[in-house]
Amino acid sequence: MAFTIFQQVVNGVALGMLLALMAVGLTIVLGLMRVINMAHGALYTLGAYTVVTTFDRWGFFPSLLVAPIAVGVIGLVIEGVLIRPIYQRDPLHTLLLTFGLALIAEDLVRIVWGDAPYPMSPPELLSGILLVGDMPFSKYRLFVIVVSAALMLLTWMFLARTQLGRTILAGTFDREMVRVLGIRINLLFTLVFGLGAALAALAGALASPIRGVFPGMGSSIIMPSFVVVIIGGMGSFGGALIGGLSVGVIISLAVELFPAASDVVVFMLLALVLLVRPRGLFGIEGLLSR
Amino acid sequence: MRSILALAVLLAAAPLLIVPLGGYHALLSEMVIFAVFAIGFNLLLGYTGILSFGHAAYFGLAGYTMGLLLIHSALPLWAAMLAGVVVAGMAAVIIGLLIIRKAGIYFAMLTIAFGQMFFFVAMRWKSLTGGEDGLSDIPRKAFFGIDLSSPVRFYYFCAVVCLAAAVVAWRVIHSRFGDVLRAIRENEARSAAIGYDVRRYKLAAFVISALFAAVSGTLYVLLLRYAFPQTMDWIRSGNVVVMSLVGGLGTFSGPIVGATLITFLSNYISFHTKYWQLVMGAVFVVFVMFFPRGIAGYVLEAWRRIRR
Repeated sequence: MAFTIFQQVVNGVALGMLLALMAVGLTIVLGLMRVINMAHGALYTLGAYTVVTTFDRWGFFPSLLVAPIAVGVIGLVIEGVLIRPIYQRDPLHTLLLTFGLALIAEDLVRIVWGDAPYPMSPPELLSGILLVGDMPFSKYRLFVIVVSAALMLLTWMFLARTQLGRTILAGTFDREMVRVLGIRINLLFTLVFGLGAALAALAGALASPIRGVFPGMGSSIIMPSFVVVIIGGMGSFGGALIGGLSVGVIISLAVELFPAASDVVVFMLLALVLLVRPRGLFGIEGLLSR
Repeated sequence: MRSILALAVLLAAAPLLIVPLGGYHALLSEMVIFAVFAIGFNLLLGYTGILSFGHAAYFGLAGYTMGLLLIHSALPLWAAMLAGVVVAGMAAVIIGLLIIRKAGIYFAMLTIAFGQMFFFVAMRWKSLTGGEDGLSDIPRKAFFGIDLSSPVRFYYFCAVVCLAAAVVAWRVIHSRFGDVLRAIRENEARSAAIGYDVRRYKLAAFVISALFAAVSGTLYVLLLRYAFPQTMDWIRSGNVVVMSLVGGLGTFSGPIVGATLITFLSNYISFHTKYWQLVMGAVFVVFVMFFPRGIAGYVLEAWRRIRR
């Protein structure tokens, strides 16, 4: 029993890191741009389907590089062409715009790749299990944990240690101030949206051997990702990480212990966090509440 | 009141106009049912300025509750409908109390999350809800002795409910309460400063719109005689937002125009292609980008210009 629980925790950490990758993009776009990106799940789906397409020609690892680049470019285009003209309007409009895009993207995926799910298996090198002592672990899940952790670290270093990244973080606290200081904030918006898209695509690509590749895969991940953002605190990088890990582990444990309630447990956690700490674990008081 | 009269005439005459054009009564009923949903939603989004992206939860919850009661109990139809609406209303009060302090997109995001919770419960609680298969063969009992089994009669039943919903919404909008809601939309801080308990008014608007959603949900389940989890998912919540926007936010006729048009279009498109989401998504994007004030918004403006 303790054995399986430990393994479920590891699975949960793998899922949690994927959720964290999704949530980082969502939360920074939200914090900086005040946009709830309903199409974030669609970008995740596109990441996975990019791997499906390039897998045969280039293999798994190069595909992991292609997915974020291709989808990142799509993100830049969406921001520049569709979202930019309507920033000045009510946030409702960008929400509805990305909602429309999510519907369009899901059907486009069906048209291009068909309705049927694609079976994806991890590459040769990472299939099978790794024995630690006498405990078996899926090699691929460990790989997902390591790669996502590295990606989160890189993103964090970018945000916290580079001039550009610090400007972006400053923008999530007070974008008017950043604008007044003479920084071209529109360029930052495009960049951040592209970065979020690339991270979502990577999450989708990494998830494909674990969670399967199917047209609705984006809709199935976006709700837990939203919950992670709220639990962690909007606009907070640390919140996305901690929130992602806790939601991932709780889902995995619930699947083992109370399978029927596995989806609902997340929302109970959400309600609890809201009651005890309404701004989320790492949220800033007042941010986004107006 | 002229709008109400016009609506009554339209609702009464609609079958005569639509059926010869190849429409059918079930589609008309569906259009009217979603109009009820959108009329209530407009009170929240259009008049109070609060965006909920989770109202399908109350729509679905009322439908499931009524369906379960009709299947497992001997309650008459009116009592089952009432129970469904009351249960959904209570859920709205609880969730509203939990999240109404939040504003703007934070609030919207919370409604998405809590709305989806109901979807998952319906999917997972198989012994009660039938899981993915839903509840089928829900009987459409008589309403105070009025038999509703024929499509025409059921349409007129929905039409009467829709008219009643429009009258209630009209009364709400043109009351002191409605004035306060509009004041909150225009400037929340100032409304609070004058002494209005803003949070209580917002909660009331939230619950009232959820009650409209609930009434609409019970009718929808009666129409299909079937309740299924997708009635509650976020796509449906998004659809009612889109109906309100396409029709025209904050106008009285907007939600009715938007709901009937979008319902008609999505039926028409899904009849011709299985990729109807693609077409609908494109319609939304075009409206958001280029016609954000909605059909009624532009028509009313044109009408004012002509009269001037």
